[in-house]
Amino acid sequence: MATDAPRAADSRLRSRPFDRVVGQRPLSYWLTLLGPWIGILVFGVFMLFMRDDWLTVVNMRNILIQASVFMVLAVGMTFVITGGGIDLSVGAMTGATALTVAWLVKFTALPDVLAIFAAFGVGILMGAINGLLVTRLKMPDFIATLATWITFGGVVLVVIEGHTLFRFSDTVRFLGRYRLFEQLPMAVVVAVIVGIIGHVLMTRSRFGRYTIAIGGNRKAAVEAGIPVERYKMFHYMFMGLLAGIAGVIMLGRLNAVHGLVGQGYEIHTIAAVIIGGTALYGGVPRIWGSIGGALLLGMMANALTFLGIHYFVQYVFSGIIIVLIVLIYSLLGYRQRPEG
Amino acid sequence: MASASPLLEMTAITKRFGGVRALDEVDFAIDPGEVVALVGENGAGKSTLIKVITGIHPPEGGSIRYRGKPVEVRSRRESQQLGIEVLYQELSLVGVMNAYQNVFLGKELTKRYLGFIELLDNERMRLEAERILLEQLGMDFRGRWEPIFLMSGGQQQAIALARAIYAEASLVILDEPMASLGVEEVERTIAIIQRLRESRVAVIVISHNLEHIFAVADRLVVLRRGRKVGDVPKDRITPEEAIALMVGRLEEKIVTPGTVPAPPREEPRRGDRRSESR
Ligand SMILES: Nc1ncnc2c1ncn2[C@@H]1O[C@H](COP(=O)(O)OP(=O)(O)OP(=O)(O)O)[C@@H](O)[C@H]1O
Ligand SMILES: [Mg+2]
Repeated sequence: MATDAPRAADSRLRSRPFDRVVGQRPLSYWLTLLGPWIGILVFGVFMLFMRDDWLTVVNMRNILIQASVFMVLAVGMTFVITGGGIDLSVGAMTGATALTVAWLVKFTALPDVLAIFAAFGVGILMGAINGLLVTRLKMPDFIATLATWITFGGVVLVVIEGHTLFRFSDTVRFLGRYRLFEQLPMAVVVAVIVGIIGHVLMTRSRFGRYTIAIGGNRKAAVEAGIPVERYKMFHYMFMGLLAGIAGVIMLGRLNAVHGLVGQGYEIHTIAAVIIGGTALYGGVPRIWGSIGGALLLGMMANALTFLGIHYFVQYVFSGIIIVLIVLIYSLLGYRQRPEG
Repeated sequence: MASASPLLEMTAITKRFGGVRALDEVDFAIDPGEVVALVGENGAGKSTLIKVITGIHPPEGGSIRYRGKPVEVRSRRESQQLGIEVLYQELSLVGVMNAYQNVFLGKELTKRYLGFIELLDNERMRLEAERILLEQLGMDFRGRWEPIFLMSGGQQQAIALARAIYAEASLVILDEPMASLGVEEVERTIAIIQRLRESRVAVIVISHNLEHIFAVADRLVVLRRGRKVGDVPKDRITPEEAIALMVGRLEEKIVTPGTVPAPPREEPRRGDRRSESR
């Protein structure tokens, strides 16, 4: 069968760099890869025609700052979902970490910087709780994080007792409000850094490769000697850390926390990830897609406010958009995974 | 290839499942670079024998030697450490990953940056995987970046075999490797097995297709209701005889004397084995 090799080679005489980029991937692969960016472009053009005061530096910056919290969360969620899980508690975790910082600086003598790091720690801890429920108690990811969503959210409500904590120091507000060179919001810088780190981890680290393997075929991952449970644990802890970062950004931006902060973030985050082209059933990550998805949703939220549509109606729109996107992807017949 | 001692030597292996004797005092041996077909009716004990070899089902009785040394294989990990790789019909590959990612899964090559950042060396893994696939398996995977679930069964099998080769397997076990393959793919798998033989890898093939078996195997081992009833070099048996052995029309045909080893002695050294080889 040695004659087989040259024959196969002849049929593929295209240049290697071309193959590397295009490969044998179907057109629909490219459509989902570019989907969120096409969406951003189309939506941007639409808004340009709707309102001529939309494309301003101030408004663009607002969109980016608003979206950056969800970019950070969506990167973490991409790992969780790609590894075959889901984290419904991100909104509650984001609120809880924001409250942690607020509470520590208001009621203890802890320096502001340490309060921020404490919030990251609390985020990781909450993520570890999720991870333990999933790996040790063998709870389905969906159920475990549904339970902690309610629990973490409940703890926040109990601690804050219906009050609002507000007015924080510049140190506390650094990630949420500081502007690099007076222009570039720190939150956006953080989101981009998180995106780059997420991308490198996903494509160039064992952590990323094993995440894909676990979500792609858990049995094969086990047989390849990958400690699946340990990596599941890492996913939730990583998500918790990013929720901590998102919480600190959010606190700095709003300059206040109340009991309902972070509510609905889980849906928003998951939506960003799905719009970004990550397979909901695991194994196929799209880190930049998640970033783009978060940006698109941020643009939409901003536009709806711009067009004077009520906040609650925005939820309806978000829902419709998600259904539409999923529909488009499936109509394209794009098979990301074996067995659809 | 009959001069050296067997790579794997199993003596009087017994395994029960409740009342069922899945294996009843089965002797089995294979040399490096030998291809042995394991045949028998459904429930004859083929898969059970494989699971004993791979440590999934430790046996109740009997002894196992690997490279002449007595071993106890109690887990898949232990058999892996010995150099035993198994390919089940549903291959243990990650469909959403591409070829080289599958070949190197769990054994990734890395590269250091700035002295402390260790990242995957995707380029080196890809080149190495393509080299193994081309040189050892005769399959050209250059420029194939797509996830392997879009590839054919034969191509996926080649990837699984490349995994085994990279792991430097000394014994590769194929459980029904050709069951779901087309004509051309079967030919290719047979060619791959022959290449493994050339590189002195021992291969055990389980198959129900006698045509494939006679095309690829050096020797046939026939199991019937947990007992070994046939152990014959391919050129000393006909397909009709093999079927007769499987269904019990022919009682027994054991031709290779060396497969029934002398009674085990105390801790033989590697060099001592010559005296009792066939
Ligand atoms: N885990 C198990 N528990 C109980 N009985 C088992 C188990 N595994 C196998 N057996 C029994 O042992 C006997 C041998 O089974 P085995 O799977 O080894 O057969 P086989 O030769 O591989 O058959 P097939 O060609 O159908 O794959 C059968 O009677 C089977 O029912
Ligand atoms: Mg079987």
